[in-house]
Amino acid sequence: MKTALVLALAVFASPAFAGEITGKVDVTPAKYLAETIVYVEKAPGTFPPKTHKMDQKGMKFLPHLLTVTTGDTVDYSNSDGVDHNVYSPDNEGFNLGMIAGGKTGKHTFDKPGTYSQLCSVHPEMLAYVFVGQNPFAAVVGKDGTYKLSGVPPGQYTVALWNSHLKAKGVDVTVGAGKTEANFSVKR
Amino acid sequence: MCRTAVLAALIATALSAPAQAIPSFGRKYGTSCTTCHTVYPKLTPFGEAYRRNSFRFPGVDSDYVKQEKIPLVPKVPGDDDTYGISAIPTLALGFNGQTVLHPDKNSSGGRADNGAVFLTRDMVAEAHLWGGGSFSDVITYFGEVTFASGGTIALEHAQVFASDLFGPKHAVNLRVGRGFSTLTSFGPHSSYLADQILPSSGVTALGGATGGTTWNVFDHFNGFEVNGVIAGRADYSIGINAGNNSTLKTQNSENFYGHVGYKIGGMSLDGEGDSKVRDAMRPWEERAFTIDGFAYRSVNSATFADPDPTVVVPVIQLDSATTVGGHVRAQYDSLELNTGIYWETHNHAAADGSGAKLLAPYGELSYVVHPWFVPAVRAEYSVFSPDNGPRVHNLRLMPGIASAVRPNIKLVLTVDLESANGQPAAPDGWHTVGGIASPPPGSTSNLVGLELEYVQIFGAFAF
Repeated sequence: MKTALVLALAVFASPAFAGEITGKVDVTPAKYLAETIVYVEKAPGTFPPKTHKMDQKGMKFLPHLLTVTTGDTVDYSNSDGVDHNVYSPDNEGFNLGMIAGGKTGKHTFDKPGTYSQLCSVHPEMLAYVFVGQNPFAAVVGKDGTYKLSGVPPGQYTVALWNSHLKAKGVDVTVGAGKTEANFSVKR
Repeated sequence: MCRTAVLAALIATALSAPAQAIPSFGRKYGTSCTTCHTVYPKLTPFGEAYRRNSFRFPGVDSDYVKQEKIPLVPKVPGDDDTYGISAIPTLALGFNGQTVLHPDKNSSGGRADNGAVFLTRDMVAEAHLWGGGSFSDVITYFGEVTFASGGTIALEHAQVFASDLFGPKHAVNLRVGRGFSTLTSFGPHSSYLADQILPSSGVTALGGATGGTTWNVFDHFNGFEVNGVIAGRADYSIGINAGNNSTLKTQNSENFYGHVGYKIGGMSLDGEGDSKVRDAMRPWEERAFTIDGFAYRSVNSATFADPDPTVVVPVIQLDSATTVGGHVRAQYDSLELNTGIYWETHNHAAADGSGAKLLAPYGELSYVVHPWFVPAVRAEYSVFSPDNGPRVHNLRLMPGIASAVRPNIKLVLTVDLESANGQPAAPDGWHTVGGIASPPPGSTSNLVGLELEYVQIFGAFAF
């Protein structure tokens, strides 16, 4: 009996039995949809650190939105021929100084939160790095849909971050298969 | 010209057209004015590099362009740089003017304004229509038309640049059209307190020539210029232009000029290569020293009133001038010193055909606390030596504060302190070199002690 219970837990905890949270986000005004992230507020477990990339090309940060997990590192490359500076005034803040063309700076995010990524030389450059407690976060697509895959079964609050608007979280119970959580966000 | 009009004109000249600070470049790249400027039109090291590169970004200019382009020729397979025009007009507008205060209405400046103390008459004195952009990665353009509130219209710039003609990148560029003669490594408006980094000369005007026919080392002329940056550290220009070639006595366009400069430290002159910006939050800073030398040979015609007041036919003098000078910029982070001197000699700078000379040292020291607070002090000294008259001099001291209230809105507070030892024969006195000091009526002395001529708030915005 004890062996069976352990086996059952192991099976349900495995990715094959992980759930998927999907849904649609309706944002008014619609122009703000482009800066929307849906994420699971808290999830159990530990998550090995990863390295992500954010490029600076044509005087833009690419991608515009990047989701990472606490402890992850972002490599900020500069594919331009002009210098850029990567800094963020948000949360604990950081400043990587000037990054010359072809060079890369890096920063490890130790605290969750949303960090606006700015360049002191080119004020129009703006991107966001969303640092979650867990890796279950996704940038909402142009059609308003999103998908969070590999979420272990359990009860969660699914939340939404938008650069201009706020939304209440949605409580869901994730089992094997799909779980839906939709948002309607207005000014 | 009455002295009131003279004062208004000289103030407008002292702080007027912010040429080459145009928002259409910002629109082209989708970038802020602060990419290239501190308090426009003053350029950052990167902005200077952009200007030297014929208004092109280091690297491949089209990589940074955000505007849609309409091809004017069929696309060539494998060529990403199709020749074309921007889908939206590359135009920009700007307005500027000044409010003047005379704390001492008995000063030369106060007397010139009939004792008026507070003048908002020229709060908006000029409008500028600019155009600037690129047809391709190597062919760019720049234009400027200035409309004065008095009704005059001036075509100041209309230039096409063909860059990287041969040799290393940025080494050989051709500029065709109307504009300033490149005499230093820096933009002509590289001043926080004045319109020009080099003070104005106008020696024939000091000798009495009418304003419309005087040649000035700083003026806009039609011509050709070849310029370039060598190995990122040396730059040069050589040019020929029509000068102030009066239609009353047409001459060959034989105005030749050239300059060489060299920069030590800081960002390279063309902005290529590794960064030298020391503080990412203060991109205007660098530690650099740049030295320039220039020479200008001009052949012009100038029109004078006949010394005999009963003769109404003007006197036209064919005047040759030789100008040599040097300029130094020493910058230590936010502290910047620009200083230089030039010597200008004319063989026919007066109605009687006599010659004249002008020695013009100048300097400006500034410190960028932040682009919205740049204290500075500027000095200009003009020593005018006519062959047939006494040598006279004028000293201008201009402490002030320049402020980019917003990147495209600026205010400049300046105080004009002047002293003079006499004044030239011109009815406008020192006007052409920006001065106003003159002995009071009835004075038996030519000396004018240090006077507070006016306090001025210059305002400008562009979009």
